[in-house]
Amino acid sequence: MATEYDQSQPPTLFEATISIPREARRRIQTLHIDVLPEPERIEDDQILIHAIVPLDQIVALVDAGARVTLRRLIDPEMPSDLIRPEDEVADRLRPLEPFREDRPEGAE
Amino acid sequence: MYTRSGSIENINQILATWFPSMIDRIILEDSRGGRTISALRISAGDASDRHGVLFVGGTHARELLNPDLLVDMTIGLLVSYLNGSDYVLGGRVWSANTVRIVMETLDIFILPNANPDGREYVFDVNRMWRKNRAPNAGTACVGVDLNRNFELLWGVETVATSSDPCSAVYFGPSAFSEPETRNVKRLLDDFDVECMVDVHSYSELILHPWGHAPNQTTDPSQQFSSTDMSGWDSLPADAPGYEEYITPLDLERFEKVGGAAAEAIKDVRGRVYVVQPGTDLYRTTGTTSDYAYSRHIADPDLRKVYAFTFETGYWQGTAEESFQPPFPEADRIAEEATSGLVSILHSCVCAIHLIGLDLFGDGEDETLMAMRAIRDEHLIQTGAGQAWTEMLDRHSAELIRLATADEGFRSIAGELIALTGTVLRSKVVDSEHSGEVRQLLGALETSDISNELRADLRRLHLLTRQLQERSVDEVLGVLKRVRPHGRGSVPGSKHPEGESGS
Repeated sequence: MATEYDQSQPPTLFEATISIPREARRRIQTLHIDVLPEPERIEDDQILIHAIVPLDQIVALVDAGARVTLRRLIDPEMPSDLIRPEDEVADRLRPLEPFREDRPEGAE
Repeated sequence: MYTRSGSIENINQILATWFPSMIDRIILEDSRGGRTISALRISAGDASDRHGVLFVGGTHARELLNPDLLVDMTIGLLVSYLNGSDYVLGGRVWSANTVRIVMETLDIFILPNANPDGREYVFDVNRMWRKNRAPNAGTACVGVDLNRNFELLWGVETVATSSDPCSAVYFGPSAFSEPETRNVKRLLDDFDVECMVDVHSYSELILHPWGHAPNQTTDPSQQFSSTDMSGWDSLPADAPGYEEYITPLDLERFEKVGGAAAEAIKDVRGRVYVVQPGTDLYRTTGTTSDYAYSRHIADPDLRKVYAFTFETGYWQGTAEESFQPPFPEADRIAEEATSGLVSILHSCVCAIHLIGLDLFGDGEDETLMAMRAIRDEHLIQTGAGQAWTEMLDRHSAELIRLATADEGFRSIAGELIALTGTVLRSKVVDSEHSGEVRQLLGALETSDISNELRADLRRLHLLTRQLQERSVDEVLGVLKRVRPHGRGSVPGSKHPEGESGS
């Protein structure tokens, strides 16, 4: 049964390392883990995956035979200093201004 | 800083308005949320019948850097081209001449922000959002993973592909169910795209096919198009021992072109990107780049697309900063990736087209058209014929380097193309022309070239001798039957292998 999220609020997410016995892989595939783009590692017949895991999936993962090591809570909010102000578009295009084909002849 | 979807679209619109002779804005289907999506087609100069190179960014919403780096690359290439100045990316300098060549011989398609709804959701609600924002029937869970929604092995589950609408890797209700994926398909359908990069983050990887199974080059029967996959509802890593066929020459080209891109990235500031098949990261199905490459296998009438996935940037200690690197480090990562993308452009220039431009100017020439017809209409019909095209492809990067850096080589190669035109028009390889071709090939062999290229020129040299006094149709028949690296002489030849005429 799919877990349904309230889409107006971000779910509580953790960065986690998940250790899965090989035979449990298929069960784990049905859960909502968001695998990070790193190669899987295999140690002692366990598959190690670095993933983002919603809070409500942790119990399901453990029930499915996984060992879950929570690394940290993810901050869902985007820091405003990473977002480019919309009025900076003109600055970005300034190096191309002198070459505009649509500029009327003789225009500065 | 990272740019909002509306501003990216504004930039596309402004660039097309400012440079109407060079840039077409291709308006695609609106996103699920009704946002405008467009791609740019950049083609300077007057040359026609160009190969296309397609760059896609922002497929995964949270990978914020890639749409911005594609916008900055577009501006950087234009500034360099219009100024006639080098394109400097850290320690890597792409010469003004190289920029001119790629701008004047290729159609460069840039779809910078394939998933604008997802990007906005990242800015406003959840910075780890990956999918688009499609409502899913019967559930409150939103979104389809666009990089699982393409047709190749669509619907086959893996640890990184899911049928569950609440999963971050949900493959959607059907292949191409999403306007955002149909947009990429449309660009591949409507234009002559030969190379492609879907730009993702992170891991410092250059991925090439296949993503669903390990590669093998020995058993052509084990290929998705000839394997019954109807029973495949999942693709666990420990079963069924399936390995996907890829031709040795394609694999070599992926490794060479990818390797050149990795070198270009390393030159920026020393960081090393690894070139590997997608499956070495994790097994996936329904991905953009595997679909793009698979198209010519599923339908031989379609052009082969050499499709890569870049994974830009590296683990920064947290998932947030790995997907959205802080500045100014993000700018350095963008420079590296851009250098890799320019290398892909450079590798995808057709060497013959480039030499032909020098020979015939920008206008369309009947010799180049006739040579392209041989490739696209005759050689494509058989495996042996395709192997001749692939032989040229594998030397493409070296031929482009020689054609741009070695005036002597370029001049002789130009004479050779012109002479080929004469032979095609006369319909017969007479002994006089055959002798001239061999002389020119001999001159190229003495240039400063790799041993591999020298060996293949030698093969052409020998073949030319074996095929003299035959009609062009007969020669084409031989090329379609006899592979370049096959042993033995051409049937009926008066000059068997080993009897050198030089």
